[in-house]
Parts: sequence; C-alpha cells; structure tokens
Amino acid sequence: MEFGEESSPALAFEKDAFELTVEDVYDISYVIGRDLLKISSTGEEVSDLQFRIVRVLEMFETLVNKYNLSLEELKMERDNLKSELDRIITESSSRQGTQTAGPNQLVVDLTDPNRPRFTMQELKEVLQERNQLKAQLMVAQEELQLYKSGILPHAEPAMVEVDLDSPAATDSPATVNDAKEEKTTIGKLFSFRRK
Amino acid sequence: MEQLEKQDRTIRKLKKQLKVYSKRIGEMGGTVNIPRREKDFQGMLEYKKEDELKLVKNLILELKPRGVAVNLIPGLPAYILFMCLRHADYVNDDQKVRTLLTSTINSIKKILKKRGDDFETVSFWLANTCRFLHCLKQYSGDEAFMKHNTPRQNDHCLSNFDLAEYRQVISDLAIQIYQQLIKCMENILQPMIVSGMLEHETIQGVSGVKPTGLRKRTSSIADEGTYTLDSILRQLSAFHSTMCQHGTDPELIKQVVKQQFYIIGAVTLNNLLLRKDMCSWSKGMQIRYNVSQLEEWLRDKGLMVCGAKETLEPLIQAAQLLQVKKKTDEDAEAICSMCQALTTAQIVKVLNLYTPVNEFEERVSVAFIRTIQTRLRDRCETPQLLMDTKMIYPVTFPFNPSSLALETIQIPGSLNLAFLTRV
Repeated sequence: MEFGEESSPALAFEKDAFELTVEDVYDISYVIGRDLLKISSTGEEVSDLQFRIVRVLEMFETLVNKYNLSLEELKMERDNLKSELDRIITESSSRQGTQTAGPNQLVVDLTDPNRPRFTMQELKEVLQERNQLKAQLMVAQEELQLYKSGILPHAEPAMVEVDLDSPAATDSPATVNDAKEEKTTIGKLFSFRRK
Repeated sequence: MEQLEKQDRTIRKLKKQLKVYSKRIGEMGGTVNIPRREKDFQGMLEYKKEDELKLVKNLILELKPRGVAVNLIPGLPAYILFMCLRHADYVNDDQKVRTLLTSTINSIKKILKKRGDDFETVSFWLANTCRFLHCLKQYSGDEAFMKHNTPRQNDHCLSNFDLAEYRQVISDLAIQIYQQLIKCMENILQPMIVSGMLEHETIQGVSGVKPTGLRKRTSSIADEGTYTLDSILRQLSAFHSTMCQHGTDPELIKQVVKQQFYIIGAVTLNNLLLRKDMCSWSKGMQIRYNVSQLEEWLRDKGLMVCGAKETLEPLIQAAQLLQVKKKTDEDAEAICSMCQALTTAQIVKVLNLYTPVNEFEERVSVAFIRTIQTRLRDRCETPQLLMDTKMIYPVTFPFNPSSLALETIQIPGSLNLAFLTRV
C-alpha cells in the first residue's frame, strides 16, 4: 500500500542532478541528519562531520537555487525572443502580400490626385499642340504691334487659322510653315530691330 | 531528602563557579590565546543586548520552516535559543533573561498571527516550542527532569535563575500553537471528508441504488476535482511526514493523529445522520471498507496504539447498524448491545433514514424502532443527535529530554547569526 510514498524524502537521492530543486536539497538534509543520529545519538562523535555536511549542503542549496533561477531566466528570454521573431515574420509577410510588385512595375495609389493619368502619346500630342499655338500667338502679337504702330497698312492681316479639330499631325507642318513664312517677312522688315 | 537535593544543587553550582574563577585567574596570568577546542565549549551562546532584535528576527520571525540546517538538525532553533538563555543566566543578567524570553514568546505569537494558516509554519513552531520547553526542564536543575542526563548535561543546568514560571507561560503558548495546528489541519481535511468517506464509491457492483454524484469509479484518483479516500490518506501522510521532519515529539504526533481521526469520524457520522441517501446497506459496506483503510494507514505509520482507532467507533457502529438485520426482537437486542458508542437519538435516526436497496427489502418498521427505544430508555445520556466537531481533546506535552550535547552545536552560516559567539 502506498500511503504517500511518492512524496518520501529519500526519493530526492534518485533524481537527476539537473532536475534537483531546493526542496530536494532540504529532503536530502533531513535524511542525512536522521542517518547521522543512527551513528551517534548525542552527536558528540559526529558533530564536526555533521556541521561540515551542513556547510556543504548549504553550498549545494545555493548552487541548485542559482542553477534553477538561471534556467528560468534563460527560458523566459528564449520564449520572448521566439515570440518576437514570430511577430516580425507574420508582420512582414502580411505587408508583402498586398504590395508584390514585379520588376518594371509601379504601384499607384488611386486616391492620390497627383497620380500619373495620361499616356506618353497623349502627352506628346498636347505638347505639340501647345507649341503650335504658342508660335501662332507670337506671330499674331507681332503683327498686331506692327499694325498698331502704323507700319503696316490697315489691310487685312494674314490671319492664320488653326484648326484644332483636325489631326495635329497633318496641320502642324502647314501652320508651322505659314507661321514661319510670316515670320521671315516680318523678320525682314524689322531686321534693323535686331541691332 | 530535600535537603540532600538542595545540597547537591549548591555543590554543583559552586563547582561551576570554581571552574570559572580558576580559568579567569589563569587568563589573567597573561597566557597565550589558545584556540578553544571542542571540549572547551560550554554549550552557550553569547550576544550583545542590542543584537536581541536581530536574534529574534533571524531565528524566529524570518526563519523558513524548511532549510538545510533545520532539516538536518530538527529543533535547532530551540537549542540555539536555549543556549543564548543559558549564557544570560550564567552571567547573572536577569534583565537579559527576561527580555530574551519575552521577545521569544512574542515573536512566536506574531508568527502565529501572520502565518497561522500555513500548516508547515505552525507545525515547525509547535515542535520547536516543545523542544524549548523540554530544554527548560531538562536543564533546570530539577532532579525529576535529570534522570536521563549525562554528567556533562548536568553541568549545563541553569545556575542562577529558576524559570518555572516561564515554563508555564511557554507551556500555555504550546497549547495555543497546538490548537492552531488542529484548526489548520481541519480546514484542509474538511472538504475531503464527506466526499472521500461517503460519496466516492470504490467498491464496484455493490450499490444497487444510484449513488450520489459519482457512479462506477474504480480509480482512487480524484476525477473532476472530487476527493476520494486516497486523497484523505495522502493528506494524512503529508501531515505526518512534515511533523516527523520538524522533530515533533512522537507522543504529540499520536495526539494529533487521534484528533484528526476524531474529526474524520465525527464529520462523516454527522453527514450520515442527515442524509437518507447515505443510509443503505451498501453505504454501510463502503464505510466499513474506508475505515479499514484508515486503520491500515495507522498500522503503516506505527500508530495503532494512539487512540485514533477508538475515535471511529461511533462511525463503525453506525455502518454496522446499516448492515444488520432489523426485524425481530433478537435483532433489536443485538443492536442495543452493539451500538454502545451511539446515542439513542442517533440509532433511531439511522433506523428512520434507512433506505432499502431494492424492492425486496422493507423499510424499518415503526414497531421495531419503538422496541429499540424501549430497550434503551434507561440509558442516561445527552439527547443530542450530532457529534461535536469542534471538540479538541486536551493536549499534554510529556517530558521528552534530548541526548544532544549542547557544546557540540555550531551555528550554520545560512541562519545569519554570525553575531552569536560560542562560549
């Protein structure tokens, strides 16, 4: 019949050294003390031995305690680092999931008012058109000046009509050429201006 | 006779003083300071008055009930305290003696207040207080207490002060600690008793009636947090082991166990007397089995002669009452002679509550119960039904001298008592 033999103090002697706790050291102390009494009930013959054993067991207690504490600390640190690492891994993987852009690709925020919206072709066409209009405007302004200053008769000015509806490709060379011709006539008339 | 004793005492005292003075003279001669060897120690511990607070703090208030030193040498705190007392007596300082004793007693009381619900602590201080009491007697110089002393121990008797009054105070303190200990154990055992003794079924196939709560449990391991008989036995073993480790007097352990068994018996019986579902033939069987297990435990611990078994007698008889025949006049006579430890009220209650296990069995007839009452009417006893679960047997502390030689005691470092000097 086991009436609590599982908790017998002598069991501490059978444990692995690295599994010991301070409670085991106390059990060991009790058993050894009891055994010493068997040798000498008064303690006279064994008293030196007895107190040397006490000293050794006190040192043992300190070491076992320190060992177990260090073990606990290291375990806690390891667990903390582990959970930290897991956290970082899950975080970084969740971020990549929504924003995997392959090479030569651009991620665009659709709520950004300054996001790129037009193609290169569209851009080219608009720029060319602007340049044309700019040139025509300059011609018109110069001509106006001439008429204002009375140099040119009040004849109908050669108006250059720009047709913005037709494809710019076919028009632009023509209008540009006209603009150019006007320019050279005016340029000739006012060549002195350049001096 | 008395005169001779007195003279003996005086001779001893004078011899001691002679020794001291001759030593002093020798020292005054300017001798070399020879390191004292074992046999030069007189088994005393000297300390400065201002260190008294530190002494009680480290040795009583903050001392853990488990440690290398106190486990290896049970009663060590008591011996150390006594050795300090011896020195105060030796230098004839009555104030020191008084304050030391008062501080000791107050500190122990403080511990009881602060950690009175920790069985380990209370048991530790019961053992040490008793040991201190025994020391006070053993080294008092009273012939009655010196029968087992060695000559050396006789030399160590108190020389100047008679501390018989303090012995009484400390004895009262020990009683207080004992009562605290019983309370402590009761609180731990209480939730286990009804479940372990009555409700948990370990005998298979005996009960035809649905048992309360637990059905068909073979294992003795607690299921779903319920207590079994095994839980109770384990707890009793734990208490016993702790008391042994603290060096509690064997006679005191016996009294504690007897008290424990009384509580177990009383609580079980009271529960039985109030519950119909506990009064069946099969429950009687279960109870008798459980009681036999408790007796086995007593045998295992060598406690058969401590009076514990006898405290279970009412419960045993109640269990028997559940199992015997309850019909004829002969049955009635048998019951009356068997149930000496039960009151009439208790017998009648059990018979009234008795529940048959199957349809073939009948309830106990009213006529039968009346027969029993008639037979027992001449008994003079209290009409009470329930046993008194608060009763604590009065405790005694039989003198238990120690063979330990005080001059061999050294102070282990882990006790933090470096301010004590061995004398």
